[in-house]
Amino acid sequence: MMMELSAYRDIFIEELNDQLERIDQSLLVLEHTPSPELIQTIFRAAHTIKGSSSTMGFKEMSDLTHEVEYILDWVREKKPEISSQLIDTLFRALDVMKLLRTEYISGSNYTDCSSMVSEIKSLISMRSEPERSMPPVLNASEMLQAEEAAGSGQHLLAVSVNLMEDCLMKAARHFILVQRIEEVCGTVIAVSLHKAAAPGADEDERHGQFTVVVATLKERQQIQDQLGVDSDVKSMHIAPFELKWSRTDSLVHAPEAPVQQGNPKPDERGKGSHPTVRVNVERLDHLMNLVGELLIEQTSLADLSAAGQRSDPGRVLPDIGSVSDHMGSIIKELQEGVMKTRMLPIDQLFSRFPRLVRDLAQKLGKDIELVIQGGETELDRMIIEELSDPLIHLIRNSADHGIESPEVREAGGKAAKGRITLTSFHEENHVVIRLEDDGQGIDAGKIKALALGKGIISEEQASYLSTQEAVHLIFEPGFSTASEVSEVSGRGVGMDIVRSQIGRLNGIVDIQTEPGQGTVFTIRLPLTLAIIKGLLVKVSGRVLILPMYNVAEIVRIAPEEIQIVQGEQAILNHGRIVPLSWLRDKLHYPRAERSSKTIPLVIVRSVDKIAAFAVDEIIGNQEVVIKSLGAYLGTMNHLSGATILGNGRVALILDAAYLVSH
Amino acid sequence: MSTLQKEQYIELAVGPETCAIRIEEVHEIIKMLSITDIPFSRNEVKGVVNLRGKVVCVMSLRNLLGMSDEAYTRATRIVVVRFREEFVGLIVDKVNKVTTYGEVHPPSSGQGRSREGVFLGIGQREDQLIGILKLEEVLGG
Repeated sequence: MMMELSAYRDIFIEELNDQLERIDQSLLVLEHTPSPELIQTIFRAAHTIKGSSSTMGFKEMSDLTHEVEYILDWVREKKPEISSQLIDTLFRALDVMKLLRTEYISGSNYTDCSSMVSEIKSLISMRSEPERSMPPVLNASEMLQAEEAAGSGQHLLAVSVNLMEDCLMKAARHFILVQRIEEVCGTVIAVSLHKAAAPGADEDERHGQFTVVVATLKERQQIQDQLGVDSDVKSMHIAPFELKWSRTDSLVHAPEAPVQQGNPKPDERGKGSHPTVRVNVERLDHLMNLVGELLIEQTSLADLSAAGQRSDPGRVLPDIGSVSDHMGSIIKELQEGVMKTRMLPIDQLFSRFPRLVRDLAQKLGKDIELVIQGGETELDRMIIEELSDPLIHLIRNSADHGIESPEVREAGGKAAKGRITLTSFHEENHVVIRLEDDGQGIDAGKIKALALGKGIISEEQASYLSTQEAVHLIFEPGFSTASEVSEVSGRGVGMDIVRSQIGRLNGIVDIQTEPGQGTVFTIRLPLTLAIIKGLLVKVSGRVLILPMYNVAEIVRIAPEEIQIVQGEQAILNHGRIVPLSWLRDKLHYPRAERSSKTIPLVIVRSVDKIAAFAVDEIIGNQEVVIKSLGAYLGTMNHLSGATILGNGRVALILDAAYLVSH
Repeated sequence: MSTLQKEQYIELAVGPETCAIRIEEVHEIIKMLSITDIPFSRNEVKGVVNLRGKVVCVMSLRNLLGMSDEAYTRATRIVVVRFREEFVGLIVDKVNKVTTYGEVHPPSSGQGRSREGVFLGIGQREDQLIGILKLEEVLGG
């Protein structure tokens, strides 16, 4: 049984992610603008999770979502004011659900969530209703019966009975009462006990509270009078029974079905997790069509080959050429199509941030709004996952160090509410992500002093650092601008991680900051990691590839333009000093004879650093498929992989982040 | 040792020595390809080659067994072996044949032998002795 279910495990997790995301977003909106639709959305999401997790035998999750569903139902019925306490409880329940999800994926032991469950329970009982009355759930045949009855003009009532605690033989009393109700009202459609069957529980005790669903022609008051008062009955409540909504419930609940026992052990669940992709069917159809076209082309190629053998091969050559061209264009389209299946809208990532900002604002006692633009921009799913941590660090920093407290803001003539804007868009062959805050900006002087104090730079270096360069010091390991280590921004490891992570993705970061006005971080990333545009260069007879995203410029210089600055070779490029090195020396290749008078230079950028590299020859750029060098070679920090050139030889792809920083 | 006797081996020449690799560890044997050298790699790593679209690392078996490199000849081959779920190429001077051994002796040990642990056993055919390589040790050691 478990083996079969494990096949659905990945689908389950995918769906779980979706639903949790949905709850997250709805809760955020609900906090500000309560609406019945949102309650309904969250209810449905919780309900879906409950259903699927109980199918997967994931009891912890289904128990918790059951409570969430219950509280939402209660909110929907009673329409109380949506208190911040309620929202907070729901948020915390969501956090526990996310935790459970992580534990489920990793196969570790589950956190005990019973305290969360009881917290939700107490939230309701605190408000009202000493007893929980579950709306009775109808099974399919009862549904049908109820529908028929309702169709023939009868109305449906739910009679809830609560017996006295000291009533003896509750089961018998229950039976008699149900018969009485039937006599008075007409047809009894369903009887449900409030307490769920539990091993070891007193069966008789279970009959103490129950609800009878009846179809009747009589009015509520009439029934109330006719049923009279029974000495063993503590309370009796008659309410109209709404068919519609227990229907959706009954389809999933099936309360009579045996509760699935035997939770699989957590370690069994953790095994064999493969990420799944959801692909738009239209995209798949498109790929299928292209494959079909390729097959047709292949047939005509076979025909031409046969024709060539029969007669003069020279005569079919032009045809073969045109088939090849056509195949080429199909393959290119196929390649793009396959790439697209790896693409996801960046919203998948951005949608996690409103919650982050909300929590940060609350924790920091600031008023911050997050504006998201361009969430539909598509990016390789792998890059999206890798981007999560760096962006969280940047947002935390903006909220913690960037945005000032409301008082300071107002004193400075700004709106009390700080604003963080996250924007994404395509620009040529890459994706740009811009994080903008209207906070206090980065004080270059302060940064310089701090870096000096921490021994990151020397007194001498500090003296000739430009403002821009000083600001970039925040990326240095061990740097933290918060004078005290705060819970929010961590221990000064954040920005360092941001740089290395973005460097690994072949990205570039720019910082623009205006004291008192705010800071803008601009991150540029390649669209995908599988195929890149590479610049082919020749060094000592070897062809090497530099990722185009990291190539800022290609220039040719005369040898006399090379200057010696502080004992190192450098060139002046657009008014800035760019360190220069010879790629062949950097890679310990033998020197080759050079004939040309000028030296071709490639100016490489990575994250925030820039450097020029002299090569023997610039060959040109082309799309290259990145292949792994394999694990046997060990860590090769200077290479980001290899590719196979048109002539069948392997060419190495250099890691720009390594080149500029070593 | 009985299982080692039934197995087939690829016999190859490395410098003055002849050694063998269990045939089930060998994926294929190819002629010399153009090798792309890798900066900052170990001396015995000769580079990477394109094996039908796969990038495969090639090593010098001479270096791995403590011998110095010689120029490649027409007899030079790359023996592609499976190692830890990857392919690794071993450059050998010559591939002799596929063979079996009538008797396999345990590897000799002690006396400060330089390549202790590199051999699985010593195969004997008539009066010729051939060391059977233990890839885990040769490549992983």
